Amino acid sequence: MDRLSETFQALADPTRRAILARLTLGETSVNELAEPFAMSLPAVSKHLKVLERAGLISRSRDAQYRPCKLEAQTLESVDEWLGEYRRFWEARFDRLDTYLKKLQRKPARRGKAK
Amino acid sequence: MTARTITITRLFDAPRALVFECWLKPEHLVQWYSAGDGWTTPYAESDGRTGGRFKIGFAGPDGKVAFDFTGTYDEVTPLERIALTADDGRPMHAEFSDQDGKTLVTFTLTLEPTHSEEQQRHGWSNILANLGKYLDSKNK
Repeated sequence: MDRLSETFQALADPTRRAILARLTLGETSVNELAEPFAMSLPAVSKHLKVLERAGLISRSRDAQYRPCKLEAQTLESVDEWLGEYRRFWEARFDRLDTYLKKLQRKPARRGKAK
Repeated sequence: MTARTITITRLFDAPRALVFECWLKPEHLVQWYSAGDGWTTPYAESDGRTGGRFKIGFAGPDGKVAFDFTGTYDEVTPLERIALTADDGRPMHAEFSDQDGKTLVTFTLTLEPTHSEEQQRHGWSNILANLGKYLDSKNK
């Protein structure tokens, strides 16, 4: 699976999205992350592993409580990817706009000929 | 905004009937639906009614790459709405309305196959918004 698919799969779960939202506020320990969720620590750890594999977070190796940190770059690549699609469709709309102008410049072609 | 969707709006200076027709009729589709950058749309088939099928050809600038974009119209409400699902599972829809004598098109594209309604409701646009704030704060 490519990185982007992995990222999307990681983002497909509401709990994981909530964890990411929490991490946008700064580095957080696993205990702190588990608090708002009615979930065991192992269950939270499992989600964190998915997020880590997808490159969305990183976990410090040195500190004993291994705080989690958001890896903003991965989300940025998602954002860029969305942007590409947007530009693609904007360009397509430009072509439709041009084509509509062309269509309307041709009189007597739409059944209203005198 | 919901999960993995993009919404684009555009005001076209043309009657709604004509704009609507451009989205459904093969002879119009080949004129504007191409992928740009030298890509062409050599042919299009479109059975423009609810449940109808469409097939739009794409040919690359080098003449080597070519593929068909195919799918089904989930809903065609004349002059108002076209909803379709591509055969790769991606849904998209376009809505048409009058605005100041022009035609407003609101187009929504879902970028990945939809697996559940729940996923659509819980978009991650909030995460991106938060991310923006996060990056701003980092740059201070």
